[in-house]
Amino acid sequence: MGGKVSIILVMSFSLLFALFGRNILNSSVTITENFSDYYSITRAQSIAISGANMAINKLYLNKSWTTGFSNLAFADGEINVDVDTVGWDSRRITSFGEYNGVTKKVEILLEPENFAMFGNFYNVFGSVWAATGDTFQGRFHANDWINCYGDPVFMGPATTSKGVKLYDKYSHPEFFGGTKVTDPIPLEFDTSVIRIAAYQNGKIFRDTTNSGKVTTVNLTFLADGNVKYKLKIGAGSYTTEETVPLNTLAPNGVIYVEKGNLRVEGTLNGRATIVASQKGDATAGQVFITNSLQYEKNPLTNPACDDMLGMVAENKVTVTYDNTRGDINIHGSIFSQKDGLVIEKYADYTTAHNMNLVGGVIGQKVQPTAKYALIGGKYVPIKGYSYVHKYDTRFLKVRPPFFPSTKFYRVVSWYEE
Amino acid sequence: MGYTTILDIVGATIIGGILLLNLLKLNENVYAVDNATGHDVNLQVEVVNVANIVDGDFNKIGYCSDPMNMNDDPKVTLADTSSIKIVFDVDKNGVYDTVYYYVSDLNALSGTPNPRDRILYRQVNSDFPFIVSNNITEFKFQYLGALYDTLSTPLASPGLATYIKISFRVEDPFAFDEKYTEAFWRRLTVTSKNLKRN
Repeated sequence: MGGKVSIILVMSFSLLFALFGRNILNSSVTITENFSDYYSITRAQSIAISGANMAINKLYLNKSWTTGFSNLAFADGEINVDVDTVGWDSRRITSFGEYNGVTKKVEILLEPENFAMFGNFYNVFGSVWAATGDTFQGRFHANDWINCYGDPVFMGPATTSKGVKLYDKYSHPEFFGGTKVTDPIPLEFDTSVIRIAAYQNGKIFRDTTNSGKVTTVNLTFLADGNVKYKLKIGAGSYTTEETVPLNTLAPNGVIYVEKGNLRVEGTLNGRATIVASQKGDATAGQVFITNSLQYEKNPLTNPACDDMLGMVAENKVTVTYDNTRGDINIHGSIFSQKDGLVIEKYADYTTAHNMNLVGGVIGQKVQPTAKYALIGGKYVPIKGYSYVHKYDTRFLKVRPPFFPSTKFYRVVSWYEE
Repeated sequence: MGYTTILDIVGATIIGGILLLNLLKLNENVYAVDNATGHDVNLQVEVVNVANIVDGDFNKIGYCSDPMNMNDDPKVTLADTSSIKIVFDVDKNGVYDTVYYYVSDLNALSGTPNPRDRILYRQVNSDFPFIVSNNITEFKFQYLGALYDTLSTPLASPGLATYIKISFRVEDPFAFDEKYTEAFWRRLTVTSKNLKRN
C-alpha cells in the first residue's frame, strides 16, 4: 500500500514539475526570441545604413554614379540600393538592408554643395584665432584647424579638415551646430561654367582690342533695378557711363569681367553674380567694393526680399580705403579664390567702424579687418572695420546665379525607417 | 504495540515531515521562478517595445520630408535629465513636429506595490500624451557637446546638445516576495544624421 502511494506521489510531483519546467523553458525561449527579433531589426537597420554610406562614398568619388547595388551580400545580410535623380541635379539614395527576414529602409536626399551655403569658409586659418566675442553665423568650414581663443561662438554647423585647436584650458568655444572633422573641401571651381553662362545669356566685359590688357569695370547698382556701368581697357580712359536695367544687361544675372577688375557699389534690386577673372594676370581678378553694396530690401528684416548677390574674384575682394565713409554695409556672398576679404589700409583709418556683412565669406585665408588696442582689460577695435557678420539663410536653399559649386554632394535629409 | 513500532511511527513522521517541508519549499521556489520568468518575459517584451519607439523617434531628429522646410534651428528644444523635446517631421507631411518625452511622478502609480514605477509619456505637439510604458523606474538622458564634453542638465541652450545618451529601466509593478524583476536598455549615443547637418 505504502509503495503505491509513494509511486503516485512521485509521479504527481514529476508531472507538476514538468509542467512548471515547461513553462519556465517556454519563457526563456520567448525572451531569447524577443531579443533575437530586436537584434534582427537593429542589424537590418545597420546594414541599410551601411548601404547608404557606401552609396554616398560612390557618389563622392563619382558624381554621376547612379548604378546602385543589387543583392549585395553584406554582414550575413543583403543590401539593395537605388539612386535616383531628383529635380535638376539632386540625388535620392534609397537603401534597403535585409537580415534574417527583416527589411529596413534608409532614404537620403543629397544636393550639389555650393559655396554660398557657407557663412565662413577658409582654406588656411594660419595664426589667426577665432576669439571671445566672435560670433560666426551659418555653416563654417576650414581646410585647417579651427583655432579657438577663449569662447568664440559658432551658430551653425562647423566642419574642419584637421580639428578644433584650443588656445588653452580656458578656451571653451560653443558649437551650436556641432562640429565634425571631414575631408578637405577644395577651394576651386570650374570657371568655364560661369563664363559660358555669361556668354550665353549674361554679360561679358573684356579687352575687345585683343591686346591682352586688363579691363576695369565700374558698376553701380540702383534701387530701381537699373545698373550704371562704365569701363576702361588698360590705362585708357573710361567709356561714357551707361544706365540699363540689370535684367537687360545680364538676363541670367551673370556679369563677367575677363582678365579684369570690378569696382562695385550701390543698391541691388534683382539677382546677380559678378565675376572678375584673372586669366594669368596677377593684377586682375579683383573685386573692389568702393562703398556700401546692399540689397533694396534687407533679407534679415524683410522676408519679401528677393535680391541676391554673388561676388566671385579669382584673386581677391577688397574694401577700398575711404576714411570718410563710416560704417559700410555689404550684402552678398563673397568668393575669393586666392586671398580673402581684404580691408585696404585698415590701420590708416582714424577710428573704427562696422562692416555689416549679410551673406558669407569664402576665401583662401582669414584677413585682419581692424587694429585692436587693450582698453580696460579688453581688446577693442580702434582703427578699421569690426566684422559684424549675419548669414543670409536664403543661401541654404538658393544660390546667386551660377555661384561656384564644390565638387561634392551634401546630405540634405536622412530618413531611417 | 511495542516500543519499536512507536519509534518507527515517530521516525516516519519526522522524515515524512521533512520531506513534506522540502516539497513545499520546492513548490514555493518553482512558483517564484515561474513568476519571475513570466514577468521577465513581459518586461523583456516591454523593453524592446519601448526601445523600438525611442529608436524610431531619435533616429529621425531633425528630419523633414520637405527639404525646403528644413532649417538650422535647434532640433532639441528641451534637454533635461529625464525629459526631452525633440523636433522632426513625425507624420511626413513636410512640417516639423515637436515630440516630448517625460515621466510622471511616483504618485501616478502609487497603487502598485512597486514603489519606483512611473509612467513614460510621449506627446506629439499639443496632442493628448501617449503612454509608452507604465513600468518605467528610470529614464535618463545625458547630453554631450560637439567636443564630447558632458553638458550639465537642464541645458540652458539645448541646441548645444550634439550627442545624446539614453538609458531606461523597467521593473515589474508586482513581484513575489518584493523581488522585482527588471530590464535595462541603453543607447550610448544618438547621432542622428539630421541632428547636426555638417
